Amino acid sequence: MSGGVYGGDEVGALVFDVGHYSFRAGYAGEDSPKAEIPTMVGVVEEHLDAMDVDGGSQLRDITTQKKYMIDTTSIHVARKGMEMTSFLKDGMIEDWDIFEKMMDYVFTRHIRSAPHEHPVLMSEAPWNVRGKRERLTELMFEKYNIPAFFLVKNAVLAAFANGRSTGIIVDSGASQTSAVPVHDGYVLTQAIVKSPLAGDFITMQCKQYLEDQEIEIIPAYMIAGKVVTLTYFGYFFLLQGIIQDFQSSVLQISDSPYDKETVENMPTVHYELPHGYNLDFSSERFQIPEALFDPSNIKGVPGTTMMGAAQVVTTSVGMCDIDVRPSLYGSVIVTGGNSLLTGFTDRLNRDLSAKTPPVSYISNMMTGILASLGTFQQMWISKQEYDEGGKSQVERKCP
Amino acid sequence: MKVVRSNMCWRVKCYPRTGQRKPKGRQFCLKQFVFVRTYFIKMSSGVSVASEAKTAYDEVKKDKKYRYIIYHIKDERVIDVEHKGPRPSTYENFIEKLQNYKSDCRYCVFDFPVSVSVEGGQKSSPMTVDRLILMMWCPESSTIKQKMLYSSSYDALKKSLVGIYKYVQACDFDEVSKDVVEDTLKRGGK
Repeated sequence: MSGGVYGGDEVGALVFDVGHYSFRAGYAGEDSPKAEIPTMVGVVEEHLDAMDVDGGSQLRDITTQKKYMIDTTSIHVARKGMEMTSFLKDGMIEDWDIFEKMMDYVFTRHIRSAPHEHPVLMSEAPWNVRGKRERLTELMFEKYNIPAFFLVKNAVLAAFANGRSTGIIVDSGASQTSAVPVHDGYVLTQAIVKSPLAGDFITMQCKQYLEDQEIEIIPAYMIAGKVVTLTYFGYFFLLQGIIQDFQSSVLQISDSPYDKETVENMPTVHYELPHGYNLDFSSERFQIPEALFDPSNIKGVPGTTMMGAAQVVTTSVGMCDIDVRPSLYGSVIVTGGNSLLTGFTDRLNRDLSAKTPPVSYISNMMTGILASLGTFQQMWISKQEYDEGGKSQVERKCP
Repeated sequence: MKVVRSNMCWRVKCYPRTGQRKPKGRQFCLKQFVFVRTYFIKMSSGVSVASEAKTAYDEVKKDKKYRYIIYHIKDERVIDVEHKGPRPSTYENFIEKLQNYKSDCRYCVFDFPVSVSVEGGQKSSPMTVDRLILMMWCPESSTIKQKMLYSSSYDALKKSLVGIYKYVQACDFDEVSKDVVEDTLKRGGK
């Protein structure tokens, strides 16, 4: 790696942070991302009929062309036949076509600068696999021609941003809640524990609840007589937006295990849905998110064996070496959008019944600071190194 | 780059245990080197440790010249000594000194006197031993950039200071209180 180390006075690195809910992009060292784009992408299949006047329908040559709708404004327009899909699956990039489209979009519309001028730092899921990392490296160097590249596990970034090199990262995001032990800035991959009880699950529970109460949720496009037939996923996506707002403003997690009588004495919260229906919510605002911590009483799923948030943490720590357990319990770091539910950390703290340091919610984006450090430059995979060593460089240089 | 202890990392399993064997010829050495480089790279920021930092540490460890050392990262590049505490100072003095760093991250080495019971010895004469602790001090009110810089460079310092008894990470004064530190010294593990 003698001559190939990436160097230069001004780094000006770009940082991409991929999540199931949104894709964050921005410049290293800045306080907040330049762009936050929903990970959901709309796909419209356009049928281009080649006009065949012969009449025979079998002869008609139909070609379909996929059109991708990216970013908040275009996916919130109700379009006929629009399917919603995501390029991520289980935190890892699954659909590379859509991912490329997304990257193209980010570079042209948000970054607005030539990709070959900026090194790129990307976050990845701690359980990312070698094949995907290599493919990503290949894509970044071959297609975008970037000068240098680095991949960091998002759990490590979260730990560093909180001033710790050892700790357990509880990431409760949209698709899953995971506990990732980090020791000396190194992810203990064999002890990662994941549970699907997270933001999207709560959204589904809220939807179920509102349906049971016969409260109709009307997405904006249905108001004022606009008639567009949407696919189920398209409709559901718009519905989700409304429920997520309800979720973040109404729900709260009780300090102690859910008890109907105690909870009924708590103040109610008034909420008005976009079409004007309004109601006071009392015990149900505690009951719905309770499933995150105590999955045994999930509605409609009897006798579930899923793990609550605290159990995810204890299981994960239990799988680690006995020597590191005290230091892991000593620094529990909570991150992810779903952890912003009121009372989440208090309850987790109580359930773990161990001393946890004050937790803070820091977007992983802030960790772009790492990329802005001058000394970090020697760590990048430079273009030259890639040209010499190929895509396997990612396994060599990025932990 | 560091070989990770086997019980912490599954990757060690795929590493042939050539380390103990005598290297045969140059080619072999090279192969071994490649292995280490391929599998055991840790996340770090590239900050290095100044030789003065190691010298000062040795002065505490061997010569017992100082009680504690406070390190800082100079110009975001090198870990260097910022302050050396005189030998007679106590842990309380050190905490007082640390009050100056309410919104700054630092690394600290403290030579902590611990009394240990001696097996077979007389009951009334416990022995006092100095235990070296390395502390990462990242208070909540420091900037995220600092926290990031200090926590990602911690590993470099850890590697260059040999003979530390316990590693402590602290984000507030509760975590550095004497009781907590004494408690960690009694516990197993690093």
